[in-house]
Amino acid sequence: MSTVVERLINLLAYLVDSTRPVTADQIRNTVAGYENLSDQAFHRKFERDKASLRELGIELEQEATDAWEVEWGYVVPESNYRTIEPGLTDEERTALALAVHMVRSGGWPSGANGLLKLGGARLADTDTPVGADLGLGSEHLGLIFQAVLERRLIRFLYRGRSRSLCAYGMHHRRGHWYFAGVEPEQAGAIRTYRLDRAERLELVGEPDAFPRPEGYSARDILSALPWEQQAPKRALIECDAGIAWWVENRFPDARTVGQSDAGGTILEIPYTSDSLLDMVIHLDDGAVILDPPELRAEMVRRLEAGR
Amino acid sequence: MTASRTRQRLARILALLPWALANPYPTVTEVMERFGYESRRQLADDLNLLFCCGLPGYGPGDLMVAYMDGDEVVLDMADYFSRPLRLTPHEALGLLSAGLAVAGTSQGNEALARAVEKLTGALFPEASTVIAAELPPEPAHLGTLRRAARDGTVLTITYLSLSTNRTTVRAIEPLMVHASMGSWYLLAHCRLAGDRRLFRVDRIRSVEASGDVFEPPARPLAPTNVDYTPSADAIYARLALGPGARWVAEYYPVEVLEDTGEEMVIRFAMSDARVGARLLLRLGDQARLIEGREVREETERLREAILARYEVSRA
Repeated sequence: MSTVVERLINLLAYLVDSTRPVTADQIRNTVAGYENLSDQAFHRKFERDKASLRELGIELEQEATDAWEVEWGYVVPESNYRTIEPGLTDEERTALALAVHMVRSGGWPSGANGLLKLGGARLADTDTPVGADLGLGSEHLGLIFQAVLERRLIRFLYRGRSRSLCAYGMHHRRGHWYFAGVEPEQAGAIRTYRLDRAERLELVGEPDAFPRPEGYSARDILSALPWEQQAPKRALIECDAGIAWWVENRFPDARTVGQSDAGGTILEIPYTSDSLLDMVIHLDDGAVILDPPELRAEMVRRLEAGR
Repeated sequence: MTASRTRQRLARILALLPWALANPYPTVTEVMERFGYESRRQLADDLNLLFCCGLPGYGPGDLMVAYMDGDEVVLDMADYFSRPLRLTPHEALGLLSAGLAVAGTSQGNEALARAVEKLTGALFPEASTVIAAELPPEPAHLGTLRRAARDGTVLTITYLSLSTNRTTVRAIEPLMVHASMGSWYLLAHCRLAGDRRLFRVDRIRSVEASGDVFEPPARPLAPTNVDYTPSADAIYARLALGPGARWVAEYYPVEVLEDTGEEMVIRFAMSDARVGARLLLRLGDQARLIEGREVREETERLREAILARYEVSRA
């Protein structure tokens, strides 16, 4: 069952070797693997083959076969070939191969094909059972990277609102991809969006549509997320003996301020947002907010809301 | 052959061609290692396939030359395939993010840091940190667990259950640790449960060698999917989500039954009613339970149990 692979290689060989655009008819009559097909069967097969090549990064384009533009044919444009050469040493490739082996994206190996295209790498013997999954980044992941790479404008829906953005960079953190940028023609601050919450994302316009600010760093943007900028408030939370250790680990800035009568620990925890409530709810009835009163009241309000 | 196996095979052949043309007469071993061939036979199959491909006419002068000559791979008559293909945006990002993520952990090394720097420089000549990726901070016991998985050391752990908040002590055979969705997990055979279990590493309070050993799997395991897949005894609930709770449909694997824009109705599967109960309490007035007896009962029980603590501590 190697006929599909053979046909695709023959198709590609014919296209890249030809100095002129080749028409669908020429392909049908010349390339091994397309013979004896009805019109319909040929077109179905050819469309499927084009899609298979596209998945590998090979986009066929149509060009007129002569100046009169009567006939159109297919070419493999220059843009399909690599222009970057990172110049990796074998040692660096092997290190990268190990990283690729460890890291997946939504259950799938994410960088394996890219590494093959850069010349492959010997995978060092690894006895280290460690892995990581960066999570599903939605079908938009490749698109947003392209926008960032080529500095192209994007349009998308976010929380029901249509937005356009000059996307400067991307950051992965705690299982999610984020992208950041500014709205075009607005000198506003750089805003961060979560990729899986962006709907109907599309590229608009041409490459090099905007400059990336000098010294831009995706890391700086992330550490400047609004909830990390505010001065923290302090909450007092009483935790039962069995879970206090976990809360202390979870909040490295937590401080033990006392013991409760029931043998629990009273912890002082810096916090900047209501997401602290979510954490406390996950402790079930093993914890109770003692202070500040407004956080405690919000907790009771939320619990009673569904009654 | 499935579509994805076909794609993988074609991707490998198209990557091998320009490399082998630029580095003529490579050894069989080098080709196998670089391009991940599992056997000499597998490589021979691909070369045999190439020997039947080429330019129209498909005569001896048109077909590629591809075969193994003792220890060497011979590839010729295929100059039109000599230019390496571009990386798709997905491939480039996959490579870069894998490198970045591992470089920031204790598994990173200098060679990896250099590789990441070169890749970034080639993709973004004008800026240095356009893409960043980090794995969650490594919890205290991670190194111990990793070594135990490698060496086949049976461990005794004190574990604070995620679903019940109860603490248990159990003997486990650690298989692999991996990061996913912002946490580190340990996949292990649990001797208490008599089955494989996934543990959140940050919920492991203490670790001790039990003195016993086990045989680690011969091949490293692939990272396990931590997403919840409903089993036969899963519990279901129907929820209506308000605007402030729409993220639930993206965060959890749910089925969206209806979406008016104002309100989204979802079907939610869970292993334990408490998962749904906590979620409902967390969402407050942003969500409403439409159907699901177990979840309703557990929500009421949990709500009253937590509120009782607020009554007592007020007094």
